[in-house]
Amino acid sequence: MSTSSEDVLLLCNEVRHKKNDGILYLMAERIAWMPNGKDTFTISHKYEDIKMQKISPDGKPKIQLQVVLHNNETTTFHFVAAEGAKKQLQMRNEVKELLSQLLPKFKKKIPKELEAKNKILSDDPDLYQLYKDLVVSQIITADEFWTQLAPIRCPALVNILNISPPVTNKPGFASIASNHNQAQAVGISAAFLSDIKPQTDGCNGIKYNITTDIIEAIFRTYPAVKRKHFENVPHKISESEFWTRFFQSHYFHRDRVFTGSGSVKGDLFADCAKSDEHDVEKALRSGVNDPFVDLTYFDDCDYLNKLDELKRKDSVNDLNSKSGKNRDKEVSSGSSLLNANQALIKRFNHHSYMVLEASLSKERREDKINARQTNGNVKSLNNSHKERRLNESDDESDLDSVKVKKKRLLEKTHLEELNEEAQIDCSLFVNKGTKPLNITNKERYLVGPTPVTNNGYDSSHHNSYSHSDASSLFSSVRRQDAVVSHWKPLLSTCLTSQGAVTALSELSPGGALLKSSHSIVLKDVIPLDIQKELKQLYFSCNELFRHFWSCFPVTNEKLEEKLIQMKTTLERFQYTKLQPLHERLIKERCDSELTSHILSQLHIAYNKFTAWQAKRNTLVRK
Amino acid sequence: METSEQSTHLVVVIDVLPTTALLLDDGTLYEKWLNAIIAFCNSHLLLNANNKLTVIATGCEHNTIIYPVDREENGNETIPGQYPLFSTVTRVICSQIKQLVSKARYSLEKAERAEDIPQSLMAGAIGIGLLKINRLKSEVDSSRVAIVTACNDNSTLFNSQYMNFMNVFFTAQKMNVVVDACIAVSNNNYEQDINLSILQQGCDLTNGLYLKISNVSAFLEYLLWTLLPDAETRKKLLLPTQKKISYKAACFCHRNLIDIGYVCSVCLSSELITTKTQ
Repeated sequence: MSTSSEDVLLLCNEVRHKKNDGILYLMAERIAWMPNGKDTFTISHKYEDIKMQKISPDGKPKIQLQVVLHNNETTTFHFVAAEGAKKQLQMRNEVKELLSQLLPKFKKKIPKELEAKNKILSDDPDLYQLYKDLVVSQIITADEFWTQLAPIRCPALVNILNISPPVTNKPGFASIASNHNQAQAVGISAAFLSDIKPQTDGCNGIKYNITTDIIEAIFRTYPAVKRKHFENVPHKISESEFWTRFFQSHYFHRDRVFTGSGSVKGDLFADCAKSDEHDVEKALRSGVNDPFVDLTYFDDCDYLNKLDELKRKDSVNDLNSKSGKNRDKEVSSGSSLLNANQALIKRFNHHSYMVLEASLSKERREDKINARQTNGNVKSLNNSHKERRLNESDDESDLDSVKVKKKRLLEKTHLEELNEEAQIDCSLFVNKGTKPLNITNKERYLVGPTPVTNNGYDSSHHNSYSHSDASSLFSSVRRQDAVVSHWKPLLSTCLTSQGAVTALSELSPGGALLKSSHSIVLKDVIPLDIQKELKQLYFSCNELFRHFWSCFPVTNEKLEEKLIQMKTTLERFQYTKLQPLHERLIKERCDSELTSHILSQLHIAYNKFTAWQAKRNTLVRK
Repeated sequence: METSEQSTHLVVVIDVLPTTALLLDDGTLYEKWLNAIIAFCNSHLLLNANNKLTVIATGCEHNTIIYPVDREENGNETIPGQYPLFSTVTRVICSQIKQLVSKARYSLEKAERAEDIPQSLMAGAIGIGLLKINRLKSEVDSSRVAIVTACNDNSTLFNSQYMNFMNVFFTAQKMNVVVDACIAVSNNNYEQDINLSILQQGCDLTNGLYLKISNVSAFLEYLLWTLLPDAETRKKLLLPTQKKISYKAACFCHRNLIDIGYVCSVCLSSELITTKTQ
């Protein structure tokens, strides 16, 4: 029994699946079920294949647990312990708890990848067909498919799946792709919060299902929440408690509906909003180091002063809420709506600020810092300058700021392409690796091929009559003149009835001139399914061929490996796919020549391969 | 019926180059060939009173519009009972061709040497025809060009005019002018698969017909059957089609038609790839 080699974490008797009683095993890496009286598992799912588990709602007569796989297959287990519903429920919950602990461990990366792959396949029927042809029939492995074939059709895949770009003969291209890969991480959907659909559980409660992905997204969107989570979760409150509080809190709800509902007592996240504000303030103080952007110029809102004002208002509000319902009219009455709008816009700004921050990768930030430091005491100067700017009006005497400004101006106004020097100086172009167009005979390009005086003319075509020499030309002209000068247009005799009849027979269907128009079109002869299959075959085969030929010239070991692998793949393709079709064509008495083209393609590839192999062997021997 | 008929302007380009196998024996074939062309022109005029006709003769030195002419020589001798226009057309074309041929002989004898392999200035003739078509555009519903040649040459002929040919063909295509070609070859040459590739290409580009006929004695029948109906009517007919047309281009270096070559991305000139096999 295979169980002996595995740790059985949990064992449940009396679990029913499809009306058969059996035993449910939860092992280290899989969940399995064995019917009573047998010693093999009829059901076995690896945890990494499981997308999620579902349980029957409380109060239902049947206590069930459903396991949903990534390919959307489901398996339902029914707990039928004889002791009654309570025991059943307890057993079910044990399984559920254990599963919920185990599943996330196996669920790190795979589901996301699988989902992305699923989506790609469903979006691209051709690729899906290719997948079916090549992977399902085991011509190539799924891994190869995703790392080698698919990215070429769907470059975005490289980013999604975090796989190395396919081996190409262009190292430059590959490196660019990988650089690009580093440069940008996948962002968070703007609607992720509204995508968490709360479910009502019947009695006035709301249930949120959150996954690790969602938690990740929340943390990235609200760094303050992350901090709170870090501070509180393991020791002060439990994980679920934390999230319950989060969803209850004002901090979460203000993002969804802007209501002035009172905050829950002891709101864990009360100071989060403040810390956000602190961030905004910090960002404001650091300012925008770009002379083309002047935030202080906007006249609708004096940002720096207003900020202080807002803060004061907030503190007053806080005081008010603490001291009861003693609202200060001065603060809240006239400006409450304005305040709300401003707060909203402020939050938008905060969000944008965070998105921008996130987009700057760590490296770039470091670079920036380095650049500042190389300028000597620039950093401190900058800071002091900024502070001064905050307090008073701009002090333009600052040398450094002028430098920065000048540099920016130059950047904006100076285009290298329009550089006059570069335009005039032709040698510069030559230096850049370009060559001026040098046309030796311009005429040839304007009038086309010019007659060549030395005779390219082939007179062998004329067995009876040759005029390539001058004398025969003279004679033919004389002859023509003689004939034409005696010519009398007698139109009534120019066509004999006999001649007309022969001409007509030639022009009738089936005649010498109309043969082509009567030929049968291949498209109508071949049954549709064979046409389709052939098309599919070509599609798959060409994909393989493309990979095969892209290996040449074989410059490194990786390519060599791939080449050998592609060759065996092609052979496998021929025997598993092409041969059956060929046999079928013969059996159905279709034109068996249909496959000859693919076969010839294959043979060319094989020949190339053997030639390459022979060459390599001689090289190795040397 | 009369009103619904579409009037057509037909430009017939006659190749009067002496290098033809039709002249070989006693010349009766050549006469027949010319007669057939004239009869074809007349038939075109017979179809519709509004039909227009232009006949251009192309030689190795000149392209001449031989019909219509500005002034007619030696009076108007009409054959009783015949539509005067027909006799005029016949007479004019006949006398013009005679003139051209004697002129060509004269100039050739004067030069006393043949510089090159003669070839007719076909592309220029088609160009003239297109100009004529453009001028009469408003008077007719459709126009087309029919090239008749008896030159029994191999496919390399006209390659030096390749660019000009392509220009006129694309112009014709743009103008919706159908270009047909009918090549008369002598019987003993027929077996060899000689096709004027450039003309084939041109006919295909403009949806025209390309015919190669060895049965010169029934040349008129072919002309009437295939080239007389206009483009509209042809849709309803079962006509010979081209099986394979080679779209080979001539290389700029040796004026050979090539399968594979280098093409300049700027001027689209093609250059021969020198391969060992050739």
